[in-house]
Amino acid sequence: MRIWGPIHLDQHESRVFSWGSLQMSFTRTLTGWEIEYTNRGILLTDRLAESRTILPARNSFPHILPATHDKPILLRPDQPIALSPGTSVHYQVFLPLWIQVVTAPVSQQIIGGETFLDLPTAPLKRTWFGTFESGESAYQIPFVPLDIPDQSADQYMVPLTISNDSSSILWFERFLLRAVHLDLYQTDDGIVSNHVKVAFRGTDQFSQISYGDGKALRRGGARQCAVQRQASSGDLIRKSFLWLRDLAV
Amino acid sequence: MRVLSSFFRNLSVGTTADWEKIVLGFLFFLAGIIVLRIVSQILLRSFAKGLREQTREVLRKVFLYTGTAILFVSVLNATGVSVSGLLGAAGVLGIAVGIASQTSLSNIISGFFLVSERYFEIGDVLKVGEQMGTVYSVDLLSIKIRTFDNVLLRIPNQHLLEQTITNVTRFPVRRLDFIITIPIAQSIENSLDALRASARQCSLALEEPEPITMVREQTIHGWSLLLGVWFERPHTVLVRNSVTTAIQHVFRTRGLHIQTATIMVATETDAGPPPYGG
Repeated sequence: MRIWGPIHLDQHESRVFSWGSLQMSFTRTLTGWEIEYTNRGILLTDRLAESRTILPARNSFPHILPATHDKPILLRPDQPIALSPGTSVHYQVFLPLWIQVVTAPVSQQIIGGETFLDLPTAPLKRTWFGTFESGESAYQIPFVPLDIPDQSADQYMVPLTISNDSSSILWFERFLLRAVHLDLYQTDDGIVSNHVKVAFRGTDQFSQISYGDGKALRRGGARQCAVQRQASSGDLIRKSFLWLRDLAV
Repeated sequence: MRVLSSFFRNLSVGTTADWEKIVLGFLFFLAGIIVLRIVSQILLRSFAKGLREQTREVLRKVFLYTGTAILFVSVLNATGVSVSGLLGAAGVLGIAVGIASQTSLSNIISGFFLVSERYFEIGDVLKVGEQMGTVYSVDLLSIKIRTFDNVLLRIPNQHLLEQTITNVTRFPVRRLDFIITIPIAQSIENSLDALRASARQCSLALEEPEPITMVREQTIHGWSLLLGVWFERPHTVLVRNSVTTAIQHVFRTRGLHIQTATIMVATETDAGPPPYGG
């Protein structure tokens, strides 16, 4: 398990962290902190090295926090999954973490704040969800629902329940998960988000999406380690599923 | 006030009262202009919230110009200048100006058509003829385009209405086409596969809509192939550069060739016949 929080270093001391494709090196200098990091570039075969100097406020230190993706994620199973009317299915979706660097006093337990760095830990591929006129930008991640892997320290798990409340078959070909509305919790098994429930209502593919408040996780001893990037109004009615025929139009 | 009166007394033209009227009229005109600007802002904020920026700009200008004209006539009237004579002269002048400003009038009317058509907005990237740039402002007579090398271009509205305009940034996603030629003996299937792999290597190239690959035609240099990559509007330069780099890299690592146009020149020398029997 990885500890999220402040980085304790003496002057001129360095420490290297590694998550997936992201490598970060923190060095404390006389006046501030030097942070060097390498990650995948725009060309996924390239590695891009960059550095930043951070000058925190008095008595403040850099903190490392886990975070969710900064855009929605398009989950696309290898083959369409058909859900009969009136049935529901529960998935555990494993997604690569993002890493944020914020500054705060060492004694302070923080779960968010003004970020100095916000970096993905895995290469990301862009995709488009919806029509050319009114779609939205997203990241595409392969979805392997029947072969659940062990959770690594570089991932967070999203409990996802999809229920088909319509009278027609739900063809699950592409599902847009709005990760920006998720909080993250540290459990003994790894990082888990609040529960996402999607109720498919049929016509026009609009779905009711509800995000859990994390009470069950807290009761189980989990500690919140990141706040949602964008506030959600609890229940949302949004387009979540996209079928192949929509793309062909 | 006494200083002002003595100042006017010292002037050789007109009476003190005349000068005082003129100065007061000028100050009133200036104050009126400021009030007009404030009122136009308030009106726009209150009643034109939902309108597009360029429509708001046109409305603001119509309000300001009309208001300024009315204010000018009112000030002249208040300072004792005979407006009736001026209006009579303005009538004659209006006919002369009207004949002379047919083009301007045409531009103004064309401007209204352009705005009502809603084909572009301020901030859109337009291609007009050979010129390309971002719409900087939409005015009564012309639109201003800021080109990518930071030059301000003025295009009369009438000219714009008559020719084909391309709005490059109308939709959030676009396709960029890469055309390469491969030698005639090279495997088309392997080359198309290499093009698809090149698109996959660019993180900004969209997975959906999927990149398109196709054989365009057979040319004198070989097979012409097309790779069409979809991307989000702001990433044009990054996608163009990274996909081109990826194509070069993937073709090189897979031992595939990209054909370049070659010209063979045979020269006749004393040593013997030309190599191709010409």
